Amino acid sequence: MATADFEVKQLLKAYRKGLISDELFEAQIAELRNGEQNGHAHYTYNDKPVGSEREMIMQLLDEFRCRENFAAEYLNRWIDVSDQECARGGLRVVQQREAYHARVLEDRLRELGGIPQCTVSAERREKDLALYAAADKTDAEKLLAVTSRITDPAQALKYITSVIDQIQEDQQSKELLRSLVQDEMSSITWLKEACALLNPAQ
Amino acid sequence: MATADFEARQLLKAYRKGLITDELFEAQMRELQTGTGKYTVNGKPHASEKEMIVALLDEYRCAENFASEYLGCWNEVSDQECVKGGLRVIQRREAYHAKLLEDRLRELGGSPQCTPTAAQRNKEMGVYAAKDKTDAQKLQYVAEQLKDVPKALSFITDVIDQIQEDQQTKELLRSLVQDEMSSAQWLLEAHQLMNGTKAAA
Repeated sequence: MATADFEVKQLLKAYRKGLISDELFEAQIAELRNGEQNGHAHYTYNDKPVGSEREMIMQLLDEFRCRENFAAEYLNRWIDVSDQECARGGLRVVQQREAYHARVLEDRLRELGGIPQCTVSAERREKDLALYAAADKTDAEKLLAVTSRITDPAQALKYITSVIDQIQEDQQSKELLRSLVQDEMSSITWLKEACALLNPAQ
Repeated sequence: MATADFEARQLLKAYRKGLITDELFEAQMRELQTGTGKYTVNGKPHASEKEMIVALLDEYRCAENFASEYLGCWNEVSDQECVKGGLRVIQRREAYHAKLLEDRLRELGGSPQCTPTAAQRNKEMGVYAAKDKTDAQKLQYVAEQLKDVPKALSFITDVIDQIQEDQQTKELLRSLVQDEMSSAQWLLEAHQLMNGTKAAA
């Protein structure tokens, strides 16, 4: 693997010239070896290195599944107390999108030999449900809260797109994730449009 | 209602001047009273907004349910991993659309009635479930049907444009159209990738 060879040579040069410490040299060689053992360079998920493409995909599938499942739950609670018919119509679609995403992601996770493990923290559950399930908060207020969290949609979806960019082998998961990102963009677009409609002064 | 008043005046003028027959005058006045003809789905008149919505929900539900079925069959015999990944998403989209549309149909007092014809079933299944046809060939078939995406979706968007009262259904349909655009975009991109030709936008 040309890139790994080049990296080793550069590391050795730097080490022999005394430019890097024993510890750094050892750590960098170990990282290179770890990558080589899996036949690929380096994979990262949420900026943390992972041993293989498959491991990276499974971590994402589980976390994405977990988020979508929870979103389907709190959106359902929002629909129950929604005060605007037009918001209710769009929310029903977004909620169903999240629910089917969770199912597709869990199916793929299990096909790859994984099992759902990620759960939403109690703190996060409490915070989000307090907002979305609140009968004393208007749809306009909730939409403002949601959209303030997604000022940069590309950044919000980066934990998915950065994995997609790294996938070279598993084309099925790659295309599946790419299609789900398209759905996420549709949901974000709707939420922003609905927010603008119900909060004309903002 | 200003428009109905105007129509009635014009009809009366035309009738009094002898420009239209007793029968036409009577039929047009009846239509104005019942509202028949004001709302249409695929060119068919409906007496009320609700009736128009119920007709669309049933027809659209039926189309989505069938699409979910044949896409499932295609996925089972797909010969490309990357196609399989996108198909799985589109198939699930169509399935949740069918469920959501049926839920709304029932909320409005309707019940599922529309079913695909035997000819339609044979035609689509003959393509999508075929093991001897490649994904590239199937994508070519789809792309030919999606040459004009807005036109293909006009049976839904025309109804959306006519809805004035039922804002929940209007927004629900608007959001589903967004999904349809995503599916069409993916199918056309996959067609371009597999067939090496520039698909119609």
